[in-house]
Amino acid sequence: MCLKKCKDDEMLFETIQTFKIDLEQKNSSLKEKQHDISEVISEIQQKEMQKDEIIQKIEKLKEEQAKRKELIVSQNKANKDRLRNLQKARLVFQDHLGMEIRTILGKTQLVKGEKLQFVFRNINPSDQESAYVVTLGIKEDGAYQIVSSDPVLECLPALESRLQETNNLPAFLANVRKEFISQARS
Amino acid sequence: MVLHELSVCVHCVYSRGQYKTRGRRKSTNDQRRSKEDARSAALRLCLNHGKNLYASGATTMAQGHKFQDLEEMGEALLEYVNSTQTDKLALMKAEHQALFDQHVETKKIVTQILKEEAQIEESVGQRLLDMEEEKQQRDRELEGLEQQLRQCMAKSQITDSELQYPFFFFLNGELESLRNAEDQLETLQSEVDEDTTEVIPSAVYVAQVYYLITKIKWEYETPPNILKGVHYGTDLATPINIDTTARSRSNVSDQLWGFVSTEW
Repeated sequence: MCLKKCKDDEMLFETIQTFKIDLEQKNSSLKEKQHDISEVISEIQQKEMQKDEIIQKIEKLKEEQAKRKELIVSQNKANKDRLRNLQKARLVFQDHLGMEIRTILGKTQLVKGEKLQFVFRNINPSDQESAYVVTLGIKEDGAYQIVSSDPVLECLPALESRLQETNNLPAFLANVRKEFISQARS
Repeated sequence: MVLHELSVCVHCVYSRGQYKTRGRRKSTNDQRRSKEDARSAALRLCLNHGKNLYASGATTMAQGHKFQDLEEMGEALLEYVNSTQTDKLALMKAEHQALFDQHVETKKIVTQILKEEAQIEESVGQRLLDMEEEKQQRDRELEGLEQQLRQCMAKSQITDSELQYPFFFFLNGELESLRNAEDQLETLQSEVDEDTTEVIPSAVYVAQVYYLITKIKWEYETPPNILKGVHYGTDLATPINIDTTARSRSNVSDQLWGFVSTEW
């Protein structure tokens, strides 16, 4: 019976050993898993940081865009304001002075070699709207050149030569207007 | 216990023997014979009793050889008793007693050993239980950690796809709004450019020509029918103030053209 007891006790100790080994394995498993978890967590953190970076980039882009927008909008406003005033002046001249200035070729600032047209209105009291046009060209050297007039003015060549002598555009135009008037109101 | 009973028996026999020996001087041959018969009978009884005890004793402990000694001793005992060597009987009894004492001592020790062993067993058994509980706890912990790991990996994967298609996931609509805003800005910019490079210069040029011709600068913040400005002649600056409702168009034009000299 002692022998049997001895065998039982031996088994008991064996079981304990097995358990011990098992526990050790489990502990190292746990450590491993813990380590894996913290690795994955730091990966996630990194990726979240990347996300944040992207969001920040987008924010920055939006900010830049907003800044540009502000600039462009203010430029536009300044332009439109200036244009409004220029337009006002132009209209005042056009309506009350009764003379419209047209650039024939090109939309930009008149380059030497292009044509200017002066359209007079308010000439004929009975038909204020009817247009009396004189077309000029400006040569490269800045000299004026008469192109045409409508209605035709006989004295135009004489006026042209005076203009070319004196380069006095205002006088020229005043005289042309005088001629138109004398034609219209006579 | 068996030995003790046996030694009692022997003692009885011995004492009876002594008694019988003392009484021998007075007795006759017949008396002696009957007394010897009685003695033998007692001995035989003793032996039988002893034998019974032995039989029961054989099943208890693993000290078989001691019982065998006992048997041998019992037989020798008979011999000695029959030969009335009482001295040797006394010796036998002493040896028996010694053996019995040793047996008791051994039994004590063995009992102690067994008791200690039982204690150890108990503590070991407890230890086993503790370990088992610890094992279960670790298993639970492990499971918990595995679940946590799974969750983390899932989150990591989700974040991966978020990163792959950011505008789909966490920047919904940002791309579109950025693009729209950019388009608007482009349109506005080109308008600004056109104005800056073409429209304004052209308008400025026209304004310059008007000034060149008329030398008039207008005031803008005036009521609608009032023409207000200044004519900048070579020596003189003349204010202009005309109510256009009161006059005809050609009349106003004539007046304004009045500022432009026809003299070359």
